[in-house]
Amino acid sequence: MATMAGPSRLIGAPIKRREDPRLVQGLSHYVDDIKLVNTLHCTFLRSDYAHADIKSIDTEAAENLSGVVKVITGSDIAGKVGSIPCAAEIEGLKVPDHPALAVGRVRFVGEPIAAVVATDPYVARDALDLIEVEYDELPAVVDLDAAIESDSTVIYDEFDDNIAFTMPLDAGDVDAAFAEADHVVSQRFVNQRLIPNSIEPRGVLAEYLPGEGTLTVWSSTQVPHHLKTILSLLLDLPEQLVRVIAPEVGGGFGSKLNVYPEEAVVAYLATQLRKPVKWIEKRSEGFTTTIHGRDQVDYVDMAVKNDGTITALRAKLLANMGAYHQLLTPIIPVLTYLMMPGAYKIPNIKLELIGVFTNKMATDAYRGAGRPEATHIIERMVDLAAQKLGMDAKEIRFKNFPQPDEFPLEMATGVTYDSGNYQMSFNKALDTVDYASLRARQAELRGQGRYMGIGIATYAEICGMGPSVGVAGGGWESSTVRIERTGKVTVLTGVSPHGQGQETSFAQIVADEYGISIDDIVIIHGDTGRQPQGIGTFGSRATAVGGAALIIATQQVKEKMAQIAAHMLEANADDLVFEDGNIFVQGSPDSAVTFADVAATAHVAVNLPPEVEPGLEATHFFEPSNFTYPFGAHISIVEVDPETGEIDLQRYVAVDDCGNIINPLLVDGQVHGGIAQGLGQAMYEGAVYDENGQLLTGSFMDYAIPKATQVPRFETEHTTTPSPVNPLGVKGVGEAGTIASSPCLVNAVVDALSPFGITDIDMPMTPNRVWQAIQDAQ
Amino acid sequence: MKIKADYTVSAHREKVWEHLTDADLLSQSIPGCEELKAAGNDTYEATIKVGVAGIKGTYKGTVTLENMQPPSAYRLIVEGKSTIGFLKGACDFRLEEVNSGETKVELAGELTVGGKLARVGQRIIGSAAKMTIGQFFKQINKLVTTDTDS
Repeated sequence: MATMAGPSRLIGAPIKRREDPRLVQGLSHYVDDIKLVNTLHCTFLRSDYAHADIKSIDTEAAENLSGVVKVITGSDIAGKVGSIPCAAEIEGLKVPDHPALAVGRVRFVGEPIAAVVATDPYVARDALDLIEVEYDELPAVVDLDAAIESDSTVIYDEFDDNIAFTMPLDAGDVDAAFAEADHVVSQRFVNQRLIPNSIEPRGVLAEYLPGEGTLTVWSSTQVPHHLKTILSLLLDLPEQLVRVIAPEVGGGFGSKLNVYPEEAVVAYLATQLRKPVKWIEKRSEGFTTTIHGRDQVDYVDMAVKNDGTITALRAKLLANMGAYHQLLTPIIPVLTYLMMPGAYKIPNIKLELIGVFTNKMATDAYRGAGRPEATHIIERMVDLAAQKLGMDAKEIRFKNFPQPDEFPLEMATGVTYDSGNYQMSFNKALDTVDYASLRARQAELRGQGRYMGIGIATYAEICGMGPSVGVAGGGWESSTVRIERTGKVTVLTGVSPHGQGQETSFAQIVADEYGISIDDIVIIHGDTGRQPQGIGTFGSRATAVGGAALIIATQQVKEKMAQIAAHMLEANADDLVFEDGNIFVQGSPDSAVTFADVAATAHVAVNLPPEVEPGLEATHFFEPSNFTYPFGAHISIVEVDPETGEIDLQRYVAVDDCGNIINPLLVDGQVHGGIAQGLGQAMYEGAVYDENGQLLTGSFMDYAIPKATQVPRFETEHTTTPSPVNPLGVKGVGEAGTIASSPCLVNAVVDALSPFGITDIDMPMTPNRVWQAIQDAQ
Repeated sequence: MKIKADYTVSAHREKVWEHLTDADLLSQSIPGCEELKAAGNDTYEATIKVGVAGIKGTYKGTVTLENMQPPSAYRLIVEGKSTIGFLKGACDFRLEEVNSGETKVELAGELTVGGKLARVGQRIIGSAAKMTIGQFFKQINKLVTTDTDS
């Protein structure tokens, strides 16, 4: 069989998303749109205190409210619903018990204490007001630096302190490098806590059929397969009888890469009450009890030579875990740790990563997950070093990039970058903005008392989450390809898209391989009943790992089709091509069999070659050999009004290299959304708790996410450096925009304000903060 | 959140003191007060309706007067909870006769709120508290001036 497909028509083509018509017409089904007869509605009573002992809970009045079916508290389900799990495996990690409903003590505002089930959602809500909880307030641990001091309140009686884990690294000879440095730059960075806020809040619907013993759970999740396994363990049910369906999911950004108490409690209640039970998260609940992102305080030193060579990096990273570990909480800052060198060859690195418990909501994966923090640190430090050396921000970067022929490149942190050409993407970005004339323009404007800034971020990140050795819960992915009797193709994938567009891009991959129309292909995902094996969508992995599984399964079926077609054509399978719905011997398109005919032959099974089984189906599990390391260069141009502190973002250019591109529209969509979210962190967003652990930014009135009018038109460009670790040569692009944009914007504003002697500014760069920095500098 | 304010009431200090420490008069003056009844030892059980930023709730709790130094100073402690969360605070009141027949009341204290009110209303709780205290003194002023002969 000719392994080459026909002329490549769809991979690389800007095909419009096939998902969009149903989304824009309101024809999709999210969890709350799924209506089952006799569904009961669940609500959760949540702690108003950040840290308190529960003296008593009186649920009697709530139970007596007409329409209330059941009220449960932590003690009712102790021993019946297991501890909410954390998948992290880190040496010495402290893993506290995480009951689905608090028992005895609450440790963050919003922690669920009791669940009410009623026949009507409004009754279930009203009943919450009738539950009386008596608390004994305890001092709240809220400040990251203070939490690790010896005089801090300790959140867990069973532990000596609030340190969840420490992870050291000492690569090369850091002390010698600092001793021999011409300059040392030092900075403390606060990477503020963010609230993900996907457009669809979380939601769970569970139905238990006692006769069959089957539990079906619809959840707005990114990881239905993990949820299936974990629910079966938490509720002690046979895994084969648990099915999890992620219907249409309205975004996640990592916040739904988790298993939450509500999922366990709702599923448990369905098994007990033997009726469907539904819980839909309110936006105000989402603010307090869906995982948060970022929240690090980082102390960093960099050693540089006079010629701009970076010789060493030393850092203490404090990462806020929150009160409990969610699924991956401690792993997120490990990605910061691994990616500390960014796009630069730094031979000597000494790190101390400290995970810290506080009386706040758990942090976990939020778009970028650990890499925005690393990129912020390294990109700011490089600019600080350049500023100190009087060197251009461009020159110091070129000075420290690895050369393209050095890949695969082992870094001091232990990871091996797969492929890269950082010079190429950076040069493209510099050419796009005409960097030299920009600097001239900046000098001219400064002469007029105007503060224009040019921000650069040349990033390298880690994604394509796999191989399994580096990903808690597994880093492989599965795909099944089945050709139906009518010649239509069904793809079952273990990834679980929730906005990424794989129903389009995966169909492009298959259509090209088979030479058939994209309309003949259906991509099924997010249902463990249809595709029992999978890992899910997160960490920019779906195409790099799931797409790789798909192309291999597609080719396996193609090989069998070629054997059958060769039998029908009395030809040699190696000579066949698949094109325009036909299969024929290369050069003889007139004597072809149709793709559909071959499919029918395979299913009817009366004219099969010897040794060939009926049917056309293959499943492949793909295990990548390494992570992928996308990279790129972003440049932003701002002007700051020193009178008001307002930032005018005038231009944003992104050159991303995510390896081969399946669909440029999807890639640009990811880059746009990613930049908008990074811009949100840089300029607007920040979760604020007061000194008692009360969340002050509990609604969109106080938590500002960027609006359409606050983002500029993005200019996106690409370079293509294929990854060698998967057969598609793709790397992943879901998070690149978020990873590069916040340091890019901070670098621009600091560059604009450098005439004032300003060297750093904390995010979010609100007008007040910018204005204050200017006042303080004067 | 810190509270610091002062108000001038058009009455002698003893009179103002009397009003500020009398349960009946207090219940007439506290905005949203539905009930205030003595529970002994200068402690009162209170039911007070509060509405901030579209968040409304009825707080049930206690008001305690401490460090009573008639007629010049006392400390007021409140603790309450409602369906919109909890609040607790302590506030020192100092009364000083500034002109003949005029008393300046200085307040300095701290108010803590938790729960939904904190999440949604914190941004404007300072101004809401100030407004509520202003209404309280306006009412006290009204009561003392219409009640001059008693």
